[in-house]
Amino acid sequence: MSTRLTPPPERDFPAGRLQQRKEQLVSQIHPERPLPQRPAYRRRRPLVLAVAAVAVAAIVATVVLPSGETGGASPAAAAVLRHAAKTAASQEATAPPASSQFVYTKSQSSYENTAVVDQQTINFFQAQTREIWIGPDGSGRIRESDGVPRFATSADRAAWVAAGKPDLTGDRSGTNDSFGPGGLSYVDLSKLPTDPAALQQLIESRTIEGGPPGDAETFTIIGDLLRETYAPPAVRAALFTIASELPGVQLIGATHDHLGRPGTGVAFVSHGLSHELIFDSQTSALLAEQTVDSTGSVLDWTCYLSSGVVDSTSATP
Amino acid sequence: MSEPSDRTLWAHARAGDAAAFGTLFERHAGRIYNYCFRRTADWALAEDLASATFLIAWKSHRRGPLQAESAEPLLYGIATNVLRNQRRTLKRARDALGRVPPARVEEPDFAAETATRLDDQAVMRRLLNLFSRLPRREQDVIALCDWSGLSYEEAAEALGLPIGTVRSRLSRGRRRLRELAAGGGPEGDVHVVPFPIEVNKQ
Repeated sequence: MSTRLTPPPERDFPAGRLQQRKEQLVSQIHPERPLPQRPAYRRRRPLVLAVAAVAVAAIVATVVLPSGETGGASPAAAAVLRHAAKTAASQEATAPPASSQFVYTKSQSSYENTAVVDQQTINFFQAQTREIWIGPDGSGRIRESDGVPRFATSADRAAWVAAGKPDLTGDRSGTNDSFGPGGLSYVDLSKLPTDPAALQQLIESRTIEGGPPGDAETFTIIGDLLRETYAPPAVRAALFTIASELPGVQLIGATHDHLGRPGTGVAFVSHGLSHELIFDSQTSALLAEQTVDSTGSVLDWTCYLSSGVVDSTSATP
Repeated sequence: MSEPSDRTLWAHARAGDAAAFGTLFERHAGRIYNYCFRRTADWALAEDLASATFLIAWKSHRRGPLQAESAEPLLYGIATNVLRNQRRTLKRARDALGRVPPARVEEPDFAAETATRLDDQAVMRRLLNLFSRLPRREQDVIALCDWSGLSYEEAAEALGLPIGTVRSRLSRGRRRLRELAAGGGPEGDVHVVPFPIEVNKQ
């Protein structure tokens, strides 16, 4: 048996569509300008609670965990993550999705977006609700609906009013797409090793997900494996353990997500942006995540609302 | 009259000449489009991915001048990331760009072309079925060097890797791929990963 190892010949970008695509793209190209100040989205991080979390973490570290291995994360973050690992490890595994089933996740998010109206650039935050159903063969469905935009600054709002309050989301009130096998990228976590060292090796060699080397990318991949996936408790425990040993991971401590739900956060700062994961303190489930710039402005956030294994792309848990 | 370099066009775009970025797109869209097709076996998705690549290239690098004379290594590197992170990035790029309605198949001129492209997809899908059994890091270098004709230096720049690493991954990947194509063969020192590596097996 042999398979042809050369791809089919290259084809032209369909001519009419090249022009359409170019016009869309050019409409999104704006000269570089300083980032606007955005007072609207300050991170919600009560200082008192954060201090309390560090204290709790310290107790956890000294009482529950064997000393010695301090790893690479900050000691406080490492302690919290090891605790999360322990919590995950104590949970009972549910059955992974069968070949005909789907992993369902619903989330709500907000992210920075830009519109250009009458040569004016308007910065705003686009709210979105997203549901994804993804099966082991990569088939599934994504349904997204856009919420009401919030303006980054009063100047952005003024520009929008001056332009006659145009609809910033354009003609996309949302999407609802179904995908055949392979249409979505399914990562089968049920077959990953649960031994932290073995899993770490697969992540760091970029076998599970490719990518550049470096701890920031490893942190991103850990997040990828936790979001919109079916992750058995033992794999989640291993991922938390790996994060606890990853240099650069810092503790945020007790915090709230943008829906006001309490959780515990850890962060990784790279290129001046803090990438933050917030976990449910009781269950260690991924509750939310956000990206925060060096001034404390939140650039985007996502809150995970519900998830589970379901039998069809119209079912919810 | 010679064409302006990518670096010059990039500088013009930064100075506010959005059309200069359009020229960059026209210049490189075809190659990035074909690269994305070869990684996904889906022409329509490749179009989306190629557009997203340019948008992300701009958004993530507009704060500085283009380092190299050619934008290609940057674009291939970003395309590789977009392909890997479709869930994370394609969604936002689509939000920003909107969508071009799918081409209509009924148009007579289009029918023959469509048949050819469907054949391409079937051929590519078979190849990707095999290819997806390589570790992703080896897939990346083979797709860049062997399928897209990048030099070791260009692939190294695109992936942010030392040239030696590109070379060794390429030779290991090519060997594994030949063995897989020959029908498996003795595994010996060839480490076949014990779980399916996710690319877009379509």
